[in-house]
Amino acid sequence: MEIDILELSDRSAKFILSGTTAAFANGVRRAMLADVPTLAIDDVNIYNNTSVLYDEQLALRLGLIPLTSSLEDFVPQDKCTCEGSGCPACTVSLTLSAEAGEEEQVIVHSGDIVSSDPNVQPADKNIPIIDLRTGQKVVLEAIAHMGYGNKHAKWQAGVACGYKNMPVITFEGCDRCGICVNACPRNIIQLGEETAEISKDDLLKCSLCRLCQDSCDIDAISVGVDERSFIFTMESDGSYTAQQLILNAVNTIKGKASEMQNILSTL
Amino acid sequence: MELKILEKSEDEMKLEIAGESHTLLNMLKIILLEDERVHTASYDMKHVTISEPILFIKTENADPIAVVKDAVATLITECDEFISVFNKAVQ
Repeated sequence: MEIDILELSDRSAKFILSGTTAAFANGVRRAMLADVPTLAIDDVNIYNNTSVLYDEQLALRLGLIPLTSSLEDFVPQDKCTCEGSGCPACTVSLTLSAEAGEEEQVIVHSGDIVSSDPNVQPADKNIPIIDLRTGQKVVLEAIAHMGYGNKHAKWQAGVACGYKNMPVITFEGCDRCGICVNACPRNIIQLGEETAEISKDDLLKCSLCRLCQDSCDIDAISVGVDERSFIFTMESDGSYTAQQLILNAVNTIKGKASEMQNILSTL
Repeated sequence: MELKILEKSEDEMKLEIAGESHTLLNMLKIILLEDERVHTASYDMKHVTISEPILFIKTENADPIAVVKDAVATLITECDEFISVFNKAVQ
């Protein structure tokens, strides 16, 4: 197995994963989306809500705010020793108190939420929650707990996770007519000394549309894929850094496999 | 996770893997199919949310449980390999 990292930032990553099966790549993708637990607001005690928004709508909006999470500090509620009743190991309390007062308009943002745990904060401070007008007020306590993306999208750590096969494009018997250069919608084909060619970096941009193959009158181009090589792109919602999320996803799969191994040895 | 052997003979097994989904089952299936001792391996989830996946495996002169055990061990090795290769690539 080989990994070649193309881009890596706090929130997103792009890498080439080669020497493995599509099943493994797909497993990592699914684990990032659905099986890595994150913190999200799940219970809301509303003490005062004179805004125009229903309590339920407000609770939904709060739930969808990504919170910075840590697998070391928290355990998923279904695996906690408190058996789901809620304890400091699986839940965090957050409060939100906002008032428009005399002002005509106050927009409450995710940054106004006050967390009881300094490590658990809204991943983005600028998500608008509600628009308060003169005299309107919102006071609430929100309980966040660890959950899984397969139960609700608010616990989904990965967004826009996907992969495509590595394109393999060969030019054989090319007469340098240049039709394919114009046919390519991504403009990645260039005329080389002897044949048309695509540079190694440009190859990653290929969408495998095969328009070049169809445009060639002498069938000199063949577009194929490397079945064991994948260009992987992923983004994190901010719960974890991109790097952490990838490792957490693989560790989750490993955990499932280890659990199964233990049960199998008792059968 | 809960495992339940629904049917088992010398070379065939139907194994219910409660609490799991395509994530684990598809990976296992592909690893099993690469094993020379495996004749057929497949899994079925009748309904995406209310059903538990059932792994079906038919082997050639091998104990199905041992074959599945080996597949799970292979998956763990693959995960370990990914983690070490990824950590090296990041540095």
